[in-house]
Amino acid sequence: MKTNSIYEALGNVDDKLVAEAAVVRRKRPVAIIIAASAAALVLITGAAMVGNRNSTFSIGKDVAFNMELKKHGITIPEEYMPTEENMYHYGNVVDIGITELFDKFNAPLLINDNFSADIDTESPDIVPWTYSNLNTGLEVEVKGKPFIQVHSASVTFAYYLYDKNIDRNVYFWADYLTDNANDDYAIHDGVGGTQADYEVLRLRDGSSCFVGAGNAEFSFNGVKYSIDLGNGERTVELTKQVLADLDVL
Amino acid sequence: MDSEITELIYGRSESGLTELKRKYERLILKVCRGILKSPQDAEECANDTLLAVWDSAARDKPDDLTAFVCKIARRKALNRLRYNTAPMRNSDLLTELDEIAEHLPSVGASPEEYAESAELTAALNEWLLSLPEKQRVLFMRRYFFSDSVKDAAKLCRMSANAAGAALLRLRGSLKQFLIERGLYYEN
Repeated sequence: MKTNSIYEALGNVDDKLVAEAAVVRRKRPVAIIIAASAAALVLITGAAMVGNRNSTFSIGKDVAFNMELKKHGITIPEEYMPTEENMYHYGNVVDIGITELFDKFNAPLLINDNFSADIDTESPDIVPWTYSNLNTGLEVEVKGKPFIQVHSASVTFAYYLYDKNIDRNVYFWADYLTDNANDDYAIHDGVGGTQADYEVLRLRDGSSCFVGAGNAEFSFNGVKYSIDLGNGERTVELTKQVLADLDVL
Repeated sequence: MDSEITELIYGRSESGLTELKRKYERLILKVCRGILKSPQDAEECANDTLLAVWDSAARDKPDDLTAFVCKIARRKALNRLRYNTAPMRNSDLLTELDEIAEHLPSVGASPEEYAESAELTAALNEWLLSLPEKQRVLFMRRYFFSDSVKDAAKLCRMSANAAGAALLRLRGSLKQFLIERGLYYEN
């Protein structure tokens, strides 16, 4: 068996850290309020909200909406290719920019004139722990199949884009399903139950989007995105502005 | 109450084992199943863990019984996994180990490096304590308790994709932290 001292050493970490993770319980009060409101809504309107195959709006303990990943014609460059031994490849990217990297994977990048790929990594709105490489702020992970239950094969890019309209750096995690994946993959994830302040909005492509105070989760044209505004002002309105600037609303 | 259970164990009362089993069997099974996958192996490992806790708690007098139980369960399950998979490793068995091994190579297993692992543990404590609670719990659920990404994400009220991305960033952050501490070595 392959051994790893870091994995082993985790078995010796402080008792408080182990106990904290052992006894964690899902928080429910907000969910109960939402569920009660949904029940009241059904009683008043006599109808529940129903979407198409990939758009289940269930207002209960989680907020579910239609995030969907579709196969893309992603070409994984040789240097990022997972192997039988290493089922995923992870790497900080230091020598090329975001647009070049996306081109290399033949992956569409969600960007327009409202955004710049040139970011100031010293900017106070950037949260240092969000990525390990402060020089570029750009990471890529390629998961081979079968790596985790979530995807059969996917590429995740983590990067910042600068939103010129609100003068903020926005952190993106973008998941792309590769063309060697088993199937098209539809996701129905519950998100955001612990946030009191959020909205679920319809996007231009017919999908829906969870908009929280400073973060959003959505899929657009078959790519799954999580965005985060990092440090600084975090409101639902500001998050909606970023989505408008991305031209997905 | 843990204090009552430990008192019973210290007094070698058999009801201590019964109470220990009543309170912790599910948690122990969860830890073992996360690592071993085979339900039968996990059940045997859970029984071994209960007996080991019963044997050693009176001697070690743990301050935190939950952590004590989890650590023993994890150690037992990893030992069983080593036994099961030697000499050939089944790559399907422990994807979370792959994740952390590929990103954070082993610092080795020589006596010198073993001593270093105490330093490594201290560094891990420091790094974990520097994280926001949600990220810390997510990391521990995935790499200590061997939860699937989906289960860990559910517990932390995140989407599985967001959890996967957060874990990716956390591994990167840990790597950077260990590099700064001189505790990271490329294989």
